[in-house]
Amino acid sequence: MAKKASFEEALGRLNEIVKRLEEGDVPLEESMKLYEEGMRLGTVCRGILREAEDRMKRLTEETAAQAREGQ
Amino acid sequence: MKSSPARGPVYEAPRDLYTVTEISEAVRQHLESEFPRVNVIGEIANLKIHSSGHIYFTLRDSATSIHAVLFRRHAERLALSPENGMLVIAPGRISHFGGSGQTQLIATDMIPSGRGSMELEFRRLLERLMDEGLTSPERKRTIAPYPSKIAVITSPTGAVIRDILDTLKRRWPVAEVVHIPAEVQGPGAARSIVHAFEIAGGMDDVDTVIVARGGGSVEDLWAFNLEEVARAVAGSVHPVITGIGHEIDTTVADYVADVRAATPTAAAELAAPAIDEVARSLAETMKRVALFGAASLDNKLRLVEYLVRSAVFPAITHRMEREELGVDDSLERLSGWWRERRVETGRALDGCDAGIEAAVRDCLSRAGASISSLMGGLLRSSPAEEIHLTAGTLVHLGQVMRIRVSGALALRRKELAGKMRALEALDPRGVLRRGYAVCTTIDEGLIIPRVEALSAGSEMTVHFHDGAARCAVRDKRKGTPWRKKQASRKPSDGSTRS
Repeated sequence: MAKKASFEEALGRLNEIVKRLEEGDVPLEESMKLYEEGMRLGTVCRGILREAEDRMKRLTEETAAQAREGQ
Repeated sequence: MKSSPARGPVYEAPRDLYTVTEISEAVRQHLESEFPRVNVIGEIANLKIHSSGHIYFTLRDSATSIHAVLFRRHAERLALSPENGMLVIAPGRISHFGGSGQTQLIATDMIPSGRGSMELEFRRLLERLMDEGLTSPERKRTIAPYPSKIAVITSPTGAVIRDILDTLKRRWPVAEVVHIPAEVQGPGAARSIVHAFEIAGGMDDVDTVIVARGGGSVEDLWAFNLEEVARAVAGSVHPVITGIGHEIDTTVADYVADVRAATPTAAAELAAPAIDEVARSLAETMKRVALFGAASLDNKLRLVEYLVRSAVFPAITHRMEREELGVDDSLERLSGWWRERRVETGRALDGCDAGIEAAVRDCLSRAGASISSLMGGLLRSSPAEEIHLTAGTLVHLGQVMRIRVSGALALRRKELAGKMRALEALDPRGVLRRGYAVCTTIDEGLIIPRVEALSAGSEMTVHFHDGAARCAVRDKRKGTPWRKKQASRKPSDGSTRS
């Protein structure tokens, strides 16, 4: 992966993988690979979400602190 | 002015055309009959004591002046010796002198003005503050509709503080009320009131300041006409409601306050909403919520925004707290209501509901936490609470944004979790766990998908869920595998049996 995948891209790919595996005609070896990739994508997505939440929390706290000072 | 002949005209019946003398005389007669005895308050200026003994001067206030004369026979009996700048009340009559064309006060006396000076001071101060724009409508701040903390500046003794506390407690028991005692009359009053405003200014969580004093004479209320007090009111960090004296009393402080109430009790009423009315508007809000029930995610996000932005929102949690319903209970009711709506509209649960519920839950629990710690008096324990207490529009908007984003995040998280569950269910190792095994080549580990790839004697790895075994092929056969020895015993004519 040359560029960092966006959440939407990663989730889109994850979606494809699940669909592919559900179709059932994937050779075991490929299915292992797909599964691994899917798990990795899940971790990436979770990371992106956690980062977003952290950022939001930080911003909220900063705003609150500023509001306190500004009074 | 018309005067009918029947009433006995004091001058000739009006006509269209006058000579100068006629009109001047008419004016004189009119003024003398209209103002035969007046008392004029003003400052002496242009004082001239003529050699004849008559005193000529003008009386003036801020922008206007009138010529005046005091004839010798009255001048001789004056109790004071007049000076320019002296503020006096001059009794007399108004007349008009044709010769100079001037309207004059023909005074009979000059009395030093005590009360007059107070009124003049009042007007001068008010004019100055008006010129500075301190009374302009744009400066007036809005009073918080659902205050969390109210500071009351008034005397610690007397009925006023009791009336205010009673009124606030009856109307809006959820607010914290801080009494900042101050002298409201006498020589120390101004300093004391200014100091009280400094204390109030130091409390950054106060929503509204009430400054109040019961009824009394003009002198009793005078502290509120002093510049330092007026400036303290105008410069207050928090919006100020004045409730000074009775309905008819208006002080300079009233002019520069954000809101002027007629009495101390009225000030308390303006500072806090009636909780019963809030409950009604809450019911109204819930009705609106019902209208949104079947709407799309976008609409629901807008609903959350509406709830948070409407000033009623903090009141919802206040009200719940008052009725001792926990936040969980209210959540329960909210989601119960949601379920009902869904059944009612016959719509299937869409994934969005979870997101929006999470957002509402988040929002309510934050509000709930803030309220409970408010109750507990832990006023500045968390930033979330700070946000609630500040209650400014900006903060509201910030919160709306936050709820929108956290709603969106919750949705994503939900989506991701769904996908991950689906993926885990498809884990190929799960198949192995159910008792299947996979064969791969020894060296490259490639899966051996068909028996053709093998021959007797070749080796392979067989993978189980808990490990692998290295195996050699003894024999191979295409199609149906061996079952029992007997099944394959009759080789030659197995197809025909008697």
